[in-house]
Amino acid sequence: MNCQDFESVAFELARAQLLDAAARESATAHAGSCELCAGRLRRERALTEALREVGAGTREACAPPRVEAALLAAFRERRAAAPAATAGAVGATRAGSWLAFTLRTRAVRRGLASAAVAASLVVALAAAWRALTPKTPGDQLQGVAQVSKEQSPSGKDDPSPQRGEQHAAAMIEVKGGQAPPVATRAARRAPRRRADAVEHLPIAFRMDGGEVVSGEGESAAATATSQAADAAGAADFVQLATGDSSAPLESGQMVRVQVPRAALAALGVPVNAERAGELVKADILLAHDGTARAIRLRP
Amino acid sequence: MRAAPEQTDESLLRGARAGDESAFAALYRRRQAGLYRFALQMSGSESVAEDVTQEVFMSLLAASHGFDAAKGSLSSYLYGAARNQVLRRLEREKAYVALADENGEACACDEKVLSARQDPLSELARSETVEAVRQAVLALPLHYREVVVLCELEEMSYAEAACALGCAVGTVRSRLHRARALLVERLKSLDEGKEPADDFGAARCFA
Repeated sequence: MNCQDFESVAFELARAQLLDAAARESATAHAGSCELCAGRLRRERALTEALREVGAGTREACAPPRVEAALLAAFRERRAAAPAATAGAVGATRAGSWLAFTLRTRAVRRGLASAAVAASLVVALAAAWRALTPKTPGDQLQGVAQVSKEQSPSGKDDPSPQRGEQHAAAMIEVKGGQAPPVATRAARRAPRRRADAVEHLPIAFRMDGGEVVSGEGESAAATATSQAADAAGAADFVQLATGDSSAPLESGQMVRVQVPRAALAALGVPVNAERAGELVKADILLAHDGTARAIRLRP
Repeated sequence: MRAAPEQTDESLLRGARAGDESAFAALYRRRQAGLYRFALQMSGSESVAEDVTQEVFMSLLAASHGFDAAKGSLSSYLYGAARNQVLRRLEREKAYVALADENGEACACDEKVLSARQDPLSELARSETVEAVRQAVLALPLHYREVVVLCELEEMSYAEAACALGCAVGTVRSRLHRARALLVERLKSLDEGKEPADDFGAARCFA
């Protein structure tokens, strides 16, 4: 064996992985007669020892118990939702599992806004269920009245004047709030975790004399014209009965999310089971405290 | 159905997908430590390792997970998934810049090597040499780093590492050879920076 041959097997000789006995003996003999190769073998052995020490330092390392707890929770959610798979509940579980998972991740911990969005999603969907599910004919009519309050300022068709007045104040603002265009993805801070989950498009805005102004200072009303077609095709915002919904909406964010139809089905919204896996878009208005104030399902 | 020790990974997965929580838990407990260590040694970050471990097993719960028993073992699939997750996160990490804390010092919590652990006693117990080797491993190019992690730190055979990485055994061997050569050079140069080099400098460095 010459030095070149030795070099090709020195690391395996040092790792005791040179299985060919003849090669092993030949390499050992060469190292005994060549000082240069002997030094190389020493360095290889020293490296092997050091690497084993590094490996031993983490030999007992394992994932913390909270990882198992989170996974088992997700597993139980999935299992609980499985019987309702025909109604698309599996997708809802995926969304719920993803949400629970997302809330824990390091990436989302970095972005407070994204965390607020994720936390608000569940609240928003729950509230959407309340808002979209007519409990009584009177409630249904009232809901329509709230949404169309701007078109019907007198509020004569509101069966509950006091309550209607509170909601009217908020909904007029929300109606104005439909104008903020979802124009940029640059504000997205949280990395996308899963394609079928939620896409965050946070758009900051503030209320200025009843007019919604986008975070960049661009008048949303001014851009509303260009968004007319989009706005015409989109459903109106529906106010969510979350938090102090009667408080004026002075500033906040609008986020666009994508959720499986099944997520809505799990909340009671009728969904075609064959399309339960499809994603639907929705815009959610978040108040400055992170509370979801209104939701708009998009076509 | 109870998860017996002799059950294979694949049968545990089948049980888990049939709704058997104990099977899923058994599969997780069997495989999580290796995956966690792999991610930890590849990234040098406990938080990344934690996220990767969770995400890999979470992917098994998804209806569309890509495991195909005909293509390889579940263990290999899990390592491959962890590897992809780690690489994705390392790419993503490049976009972040450490923020300065109140004292004006960079927050190195996640970017630092395994020394990110804040236990001073633990830090004291670590030798300078081991730390230098860790740093050198983390400084390796990714395709060299992963074979070092699997073959040296996790003590996998060439065949096992090849399965996990989805490449030929010969590729693993040649990458390990090259990776070790890089490590020797790196550590030798570090040692030469401290004192005049001699024939046994590197050996003393590791002693």
